[in-house]
Amino acid sequence: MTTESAGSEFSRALKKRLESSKRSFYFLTRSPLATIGLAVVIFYVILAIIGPKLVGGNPSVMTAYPIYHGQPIIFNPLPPFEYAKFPLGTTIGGYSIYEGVLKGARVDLELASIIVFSGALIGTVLGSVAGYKGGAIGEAIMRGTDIFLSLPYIVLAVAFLTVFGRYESVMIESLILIWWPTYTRIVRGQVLSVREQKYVEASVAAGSSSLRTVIKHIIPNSIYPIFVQISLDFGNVILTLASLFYLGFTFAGPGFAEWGNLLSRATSAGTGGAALESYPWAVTIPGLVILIFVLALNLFGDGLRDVLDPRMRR
Amino acid sequence: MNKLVGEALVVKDLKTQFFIYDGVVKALEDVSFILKKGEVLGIVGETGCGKSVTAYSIMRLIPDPPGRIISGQIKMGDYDLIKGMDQEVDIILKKRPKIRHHNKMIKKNEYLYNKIRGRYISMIFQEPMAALNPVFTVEDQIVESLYLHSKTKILRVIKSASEHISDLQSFKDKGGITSELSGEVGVELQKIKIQKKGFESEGKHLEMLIDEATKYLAKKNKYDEMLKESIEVDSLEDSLFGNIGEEERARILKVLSKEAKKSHLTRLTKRLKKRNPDPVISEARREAFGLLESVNIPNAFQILKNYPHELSGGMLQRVVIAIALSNDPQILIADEPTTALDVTIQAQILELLRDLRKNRGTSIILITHDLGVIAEMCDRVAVMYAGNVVETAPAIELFHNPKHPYTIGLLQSIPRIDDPTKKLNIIRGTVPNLIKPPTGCRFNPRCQFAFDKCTVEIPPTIETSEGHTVACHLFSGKEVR
Amino acid sequence: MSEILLKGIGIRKYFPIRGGVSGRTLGYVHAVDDVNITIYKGETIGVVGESGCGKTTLGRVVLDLIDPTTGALFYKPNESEMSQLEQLYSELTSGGARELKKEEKKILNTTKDNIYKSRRKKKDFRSRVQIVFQDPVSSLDPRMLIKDVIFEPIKINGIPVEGEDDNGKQKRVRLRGDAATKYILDIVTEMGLNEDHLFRFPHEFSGGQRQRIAIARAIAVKPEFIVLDEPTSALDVSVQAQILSLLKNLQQKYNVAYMFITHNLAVIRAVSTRVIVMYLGKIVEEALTDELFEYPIHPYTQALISAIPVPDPNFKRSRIVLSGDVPSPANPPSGCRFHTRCRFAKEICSTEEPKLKEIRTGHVVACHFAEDILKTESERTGIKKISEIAI
Repeated sequence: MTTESAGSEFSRALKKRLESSKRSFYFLTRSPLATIGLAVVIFYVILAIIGPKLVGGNPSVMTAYPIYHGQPIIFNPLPPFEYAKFPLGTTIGGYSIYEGVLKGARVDLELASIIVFSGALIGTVLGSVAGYKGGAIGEAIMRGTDIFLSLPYIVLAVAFLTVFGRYESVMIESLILIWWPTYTRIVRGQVLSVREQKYVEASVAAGSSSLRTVIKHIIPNSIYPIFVQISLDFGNVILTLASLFYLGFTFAGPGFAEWGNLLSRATSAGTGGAALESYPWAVTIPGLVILIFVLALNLFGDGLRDVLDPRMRR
Repeated sequence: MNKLVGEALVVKDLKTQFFIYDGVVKALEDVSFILKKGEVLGIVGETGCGKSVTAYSIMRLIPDPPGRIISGQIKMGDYDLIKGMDQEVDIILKKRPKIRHHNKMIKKNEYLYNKIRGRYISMIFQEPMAALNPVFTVEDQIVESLYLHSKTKILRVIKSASEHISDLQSFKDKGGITSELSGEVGVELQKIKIQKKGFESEGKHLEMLIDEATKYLAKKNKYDEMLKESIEVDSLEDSLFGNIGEEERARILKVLSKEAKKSHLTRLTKRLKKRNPDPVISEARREAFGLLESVNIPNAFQILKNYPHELSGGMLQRVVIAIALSNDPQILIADEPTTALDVTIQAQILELLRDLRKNRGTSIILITHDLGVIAEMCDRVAVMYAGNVVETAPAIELFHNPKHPYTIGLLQSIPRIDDPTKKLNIIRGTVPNLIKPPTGCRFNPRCQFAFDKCTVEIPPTIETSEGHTVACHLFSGKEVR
Repeated sequence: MSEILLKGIGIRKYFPIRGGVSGRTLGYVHAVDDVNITIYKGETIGVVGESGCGKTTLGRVVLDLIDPTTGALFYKPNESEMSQLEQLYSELTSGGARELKKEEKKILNTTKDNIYKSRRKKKDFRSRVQIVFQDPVSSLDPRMLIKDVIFEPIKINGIPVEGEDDNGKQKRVRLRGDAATKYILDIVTEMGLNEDHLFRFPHEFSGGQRQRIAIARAIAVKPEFIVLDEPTSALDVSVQAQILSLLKNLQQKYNVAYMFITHNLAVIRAVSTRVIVMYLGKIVEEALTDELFEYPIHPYTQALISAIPVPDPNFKRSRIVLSGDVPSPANPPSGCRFHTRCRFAKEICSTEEPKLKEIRTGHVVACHFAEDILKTESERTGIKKISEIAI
């Protein structure tokens, strides 16, 4: 066996790990709803990657077509399925909904990724510290978490945007600030239970330093529940972003390709409240896009929870 | 054969399998054994040999999915626990379409199975904590068990007690207690005291007793009603062992399915919470006290008011045994009852089981991996390996003249406190994977005597001497020794 | 006897019980209370007792995995250091075993750091001692391949080789790549596993195999001392026999000392050279294995031995069934801690705590009536070498 190279050893280890993921995947696909959820999520991710290229132009800004064939369409949106140029119709301001949806997928997924993953990272680090070290530091972290969890998040984001100005960075930072505490809580709870496992003690007995123990044993074994939370939070963040944009707390112009912004076009100033009656597609299509995505994420998250639930494993 | 030597339970060709992701786990393969009346049968084997699955199969507690009893018979007298029980439940299900909807989920019908199974067989588990509900006191749980299974018995006790009391009442009406009557009254008092399991303090006056009696009498009509209903339910269980008319059966089932409507625990808690508790429950409480005393629990009255987590492991196991005894089972299955306990506590529990068998004549199936416990407790032993019973023999015979290579290896691998110089023998290899068990004899990969035939043919079970059976090719065809 | 490997003096471990809104300390669980322990090179010392007797805690303290409340711990102590401290300790506790005063605790605590005055020393200690746990399920990281599990201590500590480094310490090398793989393979082969097993996850193994892996991990750095915390309690008897013989072989090969913690007296008898019997955090009896099993003196030891079921239906003996449960270590009984369950208990037992005294050579018992029991015992069984009796 000594003749075997390190490369083959590596590939064997990799194969083994793939095999175990395959098993998890099997359990995931046993639930039809979770499978549908996963498929839809993958579809959206593909949209986000290739969507902006399909329609061309600036990937985060929608092109305005105030006039189409000599007709002013700023305030008279075109219905869907009638014009090849606007497959899903247009909305107030002369923006193509098709273009908005595709570009919005990229923008929304990008923003949500930054926010959720930063939040998860901060939360994991703080949660591990609070769980493993405990004591005064842990107590301080957890009380901080409590404070942030008790703040109404939209209000906080609105306040930040009002005080520090309407910039992309301010919005992202304010949302990260809102999103880390959940992860801290989850990770701390996990760490507290993993810490008591014998393999952690064995590692300490083998002379492993605290940092090494945390990185090698504790985090890998306590991180799985946060994947579920990430998948659920993706939906929440996208909803929150949409809400903020819908409420008008934007950092970009009216043509910014974000689903909430696209939705808010239909009811923007000057059109009154009659959007749903006069041009329902401008409201329902972006709304459905958001709804389906969030629903799919939730279904997938639930399925993931079942797979990662220790009771499901043997 | 006299009555005591009869068979309490016959298990024949029992086959249980589990259907999981990796394949079909053939947990039990044609398991057969006999439990005689009043004996302790030990089932011994290593982890994964199927000893617990056997117990769960007998109790019909195999979770479905993924497990299923494929075939076989488990007979108590003429009643087949597998077919008979399913038939009984099926009849109820047909009457009640709402339940039938969940036909495949045995859990939904758990109550019906409970009602039938718990009456004659009780089971105690390795983890006593898991068998108890952490949010109810010990008393509530024993009372629940009594209420479920022994309601009729309790009602009869109360009824006879109330009759005695009404006699006392008439004494009083006749002009109180005269000296010539006192002897008789004393006897009556004595009777009542016995009925009440010594709960009444010695100094209580007749008036107070009569007072209590009148309270009972006020509800007498209600008892009669309940008693009637309960006897109806009860006779279903009797029907399991006897024949009963079709019409009668339908009527009984109607009553039974009515019972099934509500979860018993919810109904019971409601009754428990009433300020004036149901007389059945107050009687059940007395019974509970008596049960705890019968399992040698000191200060039983205190223990009754405790929650499970407040008790030590040994005490909990006693409580669980008390609950198991509450319905006076004919058969007690003890699944590793002392494994989680310390040796000194284990000695106490074993002593208790020994007493139970002596005093009540309960047949016990003792499942354990500890051959020491087997040697101390059992009359006969069944050795299991990988889902097969490989050897059955009277205990002394098994320890002094083991036949099957596995039994021999097992006996030689125990460190002996009485003989430390003995070298430990090692059975090489590990217990096989039951998804793909070895062909032929399942022990052949680890057996030092294995020959060609062993990998091909499943060994038949051969009786080498009276009561000593072994499933091994070494003994087939020729009589060894 | 041979060289002293490890010596603990006056070890106490009290776990605080916190409660109330403010989380103040309500009391202490006396897990280990005033225990002296010596471990010699290459021996197997058995520690036996029921759950809650503090045997596991003692194992942790000896490995310095948890800090003792008081007590000093020495790894290969030199003579002068040793005698100095022993004297100090006997002075402190001359008035009989009792709670130490604050300043006395302080004196003992300052010497507690003997094992590791520096990080480096601590690391050295860590590489010389190892532990194997009872539960083979939770003792291996479920997300690590077996080769990584076994490689971990080697990666941290390296393996000892001939010669000494500049500080007079054992030289150690860190293995990498192929050399490491070969080394791991050698070890697992010795454990009765094969190369294929290296690329599997812990959940794919049976209990016995997992325990082999845990032992492989412990033995990989060639330690001088391994604490075996109930290593076979979760295993079947046939597997237990395999593991016990494996441990025996390893001991012969590597001359490693074991501290074998278990509640199973039969196993203790089969493997250990010396036995410590613990009850509620105290040592009640200590003797060479055969001595202890032939002539148990302490009533608790006697009851414990008589409670073991013997796998022989014809084996007859007088059974001593102890009444009641083990009292809570948070509130141990006064005087002799065993007096609540002892059949010989007299008044003195509930008031005065018995000291450990040597009753025969190497046989130490903490009981007020040890001499009486020994006398009746010797009359009954006719101990031959009566001259050996120390009194």
